[in-house]
Amino acid sequence: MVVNLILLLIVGLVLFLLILGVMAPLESLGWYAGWVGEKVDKSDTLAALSEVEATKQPLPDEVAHYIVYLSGIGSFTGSSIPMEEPPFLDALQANLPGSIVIDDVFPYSVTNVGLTGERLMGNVWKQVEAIRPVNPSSNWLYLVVVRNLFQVAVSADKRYGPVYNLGVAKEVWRTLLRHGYRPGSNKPVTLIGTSGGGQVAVGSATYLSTILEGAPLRVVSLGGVVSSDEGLLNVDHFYHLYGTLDSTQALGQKVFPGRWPGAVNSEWHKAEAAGKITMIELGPFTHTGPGSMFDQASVLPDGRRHFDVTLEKLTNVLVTFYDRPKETDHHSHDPATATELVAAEDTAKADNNSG
Amino acid sequence: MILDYLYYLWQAIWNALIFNPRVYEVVSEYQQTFWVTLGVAILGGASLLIGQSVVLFVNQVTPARFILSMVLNGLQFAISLLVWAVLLTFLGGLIFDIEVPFRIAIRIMFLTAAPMVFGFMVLIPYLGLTIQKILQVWSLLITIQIVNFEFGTNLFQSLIVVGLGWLLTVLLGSTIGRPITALRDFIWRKFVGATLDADIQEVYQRIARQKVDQVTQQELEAHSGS
Repeated sequence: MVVNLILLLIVGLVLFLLILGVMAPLESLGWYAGWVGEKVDKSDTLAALSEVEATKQPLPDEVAHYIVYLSGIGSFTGSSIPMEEPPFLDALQANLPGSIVIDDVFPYSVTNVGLTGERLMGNVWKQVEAIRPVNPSSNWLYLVVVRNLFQVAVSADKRYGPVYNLGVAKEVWRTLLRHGYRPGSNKPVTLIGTSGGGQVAVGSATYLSTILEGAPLRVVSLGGVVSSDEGLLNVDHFYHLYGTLDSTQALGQKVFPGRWPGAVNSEWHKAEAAGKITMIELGPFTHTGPGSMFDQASVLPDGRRHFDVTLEKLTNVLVTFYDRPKETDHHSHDPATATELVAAEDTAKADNNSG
Repeated sequence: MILDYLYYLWQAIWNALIFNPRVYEVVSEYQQTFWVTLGVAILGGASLLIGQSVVLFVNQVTPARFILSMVLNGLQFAISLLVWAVLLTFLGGLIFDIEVPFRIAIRIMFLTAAPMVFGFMVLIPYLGLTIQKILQVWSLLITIQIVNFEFGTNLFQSLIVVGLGWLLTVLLGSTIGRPITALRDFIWRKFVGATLDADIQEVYQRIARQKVDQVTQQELEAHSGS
């Protein structure tokens, strides 16, 4: 009886995953074919814009650098993201007065419609979302993780990736325009992707680089699971910040054959050979929850919080390029030089701390 | 009536999938199983098209044409199996001097489409292409078993017949098969608006530009109006 029940549960689970897997590419393909309209959820963007005005953030003309944050697979909408991320983004924004950090793109939808937006299952997702503040470790939240994980797979799949990544690039572009970015301004853009958002950031970079018409474009992955994507060759530079105890980000080099050592002609290895990839170790951080890169409670032996270490290293990467005094034109920045600067700063800080 | 048909359809698919040789005996014996096995072939072809439908979406076919293309692909798949049946019957007769009635060969050959009923799973991102390979190998194994059933050959002889059949298909496809391919493409263009061999990259480039230009125009107009 019990065995039968367990078998039934396993079969049910496999069927559920199969259905989710088969349905996964249909949203983006349907959008591309024109079957699904452009029902853009503007509420997130409008809320973000009014927030910008309310907090007297820099006016668009004063913004020298646009940063678009793509959350991990635990997000329901562009703004409904795991609870440890908003404080981090606020702190990042405070560190970068000349930049604007935009966080209203939902990277797991080609139309930027969050899971709780106008969707067939919207009400179901709303109920799951309501669980998170009460019980952040509820198993129900795995539903959204699995759903978004399949979208990451869509982004990484060579068959659907171009469609999906175009959709997200279009929404990133839309949100950049709404936040004051003007075509031809040549202002630099950085995409920051956490977890699955790292793959989507790299994937959409292929189209964004074309849309931005030569403006500097960089991608920063925060514990991202990134495939060997063409986007790596289309960005100025790709940074991967990772925790040594984060086995999820390490999956990228295991599950994506293009990242295997033997795949010398893959996009990953070509980008690596071109000096476009920099790996930055954060410390003994996990992927999510206690001990993660956003955790404010966990501290290193030297007394620094995980949160602060991540913030510092990420800020260093971003500041190196754009918020420094204008000693040189940012177009002429050499990624290798910048990497050396970041490394030098990190070393200096480590020396200070150890001293 | 329909329920009976669906029951027999399921029985044919399941028994072919588990390599039950009894299914070939039943199909050989009863002429009326033609419609059941034809159902397996059409269902397999239609399901496989869902799995490979990215080319239809990229070509922006309408939902109505999508359904039409499923039917077309089902029929095309059945015809390709019919050609297979002719070739294998011809080769088996030539090599082993065993005459298998053509109508029986066709009925049995349609059963090789049974694994393709799961062709829709090729849609699954990242795993889909591996699933496709598994289904193809599964179908090939059924073909080998069918050759073994029809001609009483051992595994090695069955492999030779199937291998020769494949070579013959390639040869015919690049010679006298060309007008047939052209006719197929014509039918696809006429009814669906695209062929399954369309250049996806070219279509991507064209439509990607359109979509981005559309967003830029919308947002800049909204901005200038505010």
